[in-house]
Amino acid sequence: MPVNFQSMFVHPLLDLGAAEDPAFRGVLSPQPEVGSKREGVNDAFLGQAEDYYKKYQGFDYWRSLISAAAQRVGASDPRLIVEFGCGFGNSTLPMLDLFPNASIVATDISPNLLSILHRLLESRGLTDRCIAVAMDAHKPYIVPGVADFVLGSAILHHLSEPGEFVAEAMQVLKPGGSAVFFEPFEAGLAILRLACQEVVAEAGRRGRRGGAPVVKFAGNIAKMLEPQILRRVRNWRDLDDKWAFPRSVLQGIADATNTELIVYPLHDNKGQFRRHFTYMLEAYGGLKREDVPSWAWEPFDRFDNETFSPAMLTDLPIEGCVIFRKKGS
Amino acid sequence: MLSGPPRQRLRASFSEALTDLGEADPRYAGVFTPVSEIGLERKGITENFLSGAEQWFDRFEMFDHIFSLLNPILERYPGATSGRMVDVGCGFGNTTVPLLAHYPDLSIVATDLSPDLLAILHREATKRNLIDRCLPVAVDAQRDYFNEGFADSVIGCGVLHHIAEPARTVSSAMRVLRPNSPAIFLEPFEAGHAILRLMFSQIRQQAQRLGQSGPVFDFLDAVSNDIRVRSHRLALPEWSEKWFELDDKWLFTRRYFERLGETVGASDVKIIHLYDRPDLFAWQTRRALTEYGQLRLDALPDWAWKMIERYDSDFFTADMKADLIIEGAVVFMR
Repeated sequence: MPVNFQSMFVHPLLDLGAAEDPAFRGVLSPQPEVGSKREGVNDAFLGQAEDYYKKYQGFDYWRSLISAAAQRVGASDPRLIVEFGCGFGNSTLPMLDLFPNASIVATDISPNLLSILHRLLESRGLTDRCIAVAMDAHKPYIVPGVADFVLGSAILHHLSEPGEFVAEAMQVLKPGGSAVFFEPFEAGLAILRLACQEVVAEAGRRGRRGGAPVVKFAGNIAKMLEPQILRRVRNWRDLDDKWAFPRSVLQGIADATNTELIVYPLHDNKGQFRRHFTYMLEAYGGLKREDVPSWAWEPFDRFDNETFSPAMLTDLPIEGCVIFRKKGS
Repeated sequence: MLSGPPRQRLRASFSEALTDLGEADPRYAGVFTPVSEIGLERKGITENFLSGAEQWFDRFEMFDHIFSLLNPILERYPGATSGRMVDVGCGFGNTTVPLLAHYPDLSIVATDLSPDLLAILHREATKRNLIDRCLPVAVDAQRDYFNEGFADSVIGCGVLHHIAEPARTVSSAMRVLRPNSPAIFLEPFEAGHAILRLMFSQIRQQAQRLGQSGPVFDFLDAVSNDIRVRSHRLALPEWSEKWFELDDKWLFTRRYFERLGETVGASDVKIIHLYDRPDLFAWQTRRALTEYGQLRLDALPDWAWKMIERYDSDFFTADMKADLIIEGAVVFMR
């Protein structure tokens, strides 16, 4: 039997294709949101949504993360899932596959990305199980206590006030339900930054002989991570990537929302710093691992193998799963 | 609840009779022990804590400081500061004495392996008219002599990291606690110590480049090596036997305690940092140099202090430093 999605919302849902722009056909929106200014989202997720989709499609990757998180909290068969920041559906489509009995309210602030999601749902015959809803996730449009499971894939670190958002997200959950997020962490990124800075310092001592593009890239990474890690630039609120989370901040959010916090790394602890630097080098630097001189690997390998014990490395995630479990059964 | 004077109630916490060690040796008058413990070998304790007990007391009496660390933790758990507490590895009373002094409704079974340290505790508690609420008992923390479910709280200040198998001690603590009561241990953690080691290694390398040497750099080397052994012993075959002879065996991780909590059936495990200060790494370096290295602060050159300042201000947020715990409390809830 088709799910009555409208009953999950406080306000009537309108089709943005009729209310705003035919390009948004099939994307719904709570009535108060129609025509409102979309704050906190840049053009990558609006006018350039199709390019974003082509570049960042990764259904298999997100499927594996969601599957592991659901197992961790015992969510084997959620019936109603609310997703925040769903974008074009990188997590939505895997969830529809992982949880065949689930219906999903997939929300995002960008109707452009949601149009892509709607297109993908239509082509797969899934529109009776999933609706794409354009809305500000901070606002209480969803009826409290309806959802078995909440997901936000890489959303919290874009928000100025993630605690406020989590508090709202917990409202839509039933008691005992879990809200799952995948986020960058200061612990691992700060160490990665240290390694990059050591590469630059060593290059200086060597008179920059060899590996110059890699050294420049390492310096750029250290500089790029600084505002996200230290959060002390004046225009911090205008940044896309605002946070690399310390666990203590997440615990503070859990305490404020009276939820149980579970955190675990998304990667294993074998060579995590060398592996992540390699990924960044190849994905963003246009360089290959073979371009890195052997001396430049030294800080990464030292942090991977010598400075921290294997157990400690699991407490230094670069990217991690963050679960807030609502108390009660 | 049993009636009678506090000490009588404390004695009733034990599953077997206690005997006063003073009957055999007057130096230990007022220090009790389970009858089964008499004559058993005291494993895992060095002479520091036996014949060196008085010197240990003179050097490390820190009643006020320890209370300032423990009290904010205890205040989170109503009920932990009244009723019956078990102090595991109490030594000469760095925790027992100030807690009894501040909490008039609290009585404490104060346990330690060393009768010498417990004799000092007995003396200090008597001096302060606290002995009526204190029962010093010489016992191996890894052996179980307590009845179940009588204690309102368990504390251990710097004890688990001396023990080869902390799981047994924590498991015993869980057993003696009433439901919804805490076992609180103050312990050293690898996270913050690893950063200290990283910092000290960089200072050492820079000193070598500058052709500088001296006792302060040797001290930093020694500290770094100590951290390395305690963090990485599983990867150091040469330490597989020697490790058991160390006083300070462990630097703990969050992951270790979370898994331990699951093993002992704790309903919740919390890790709480003890030192919330912006100059965390500089402060700890100052402590290490003066208290453990017996060195002056100016033994370390200015350029080294500047390197340390960067760790406090340029590499980690204040929130992250709360996670890079050097010394912290781990709380297991029954």
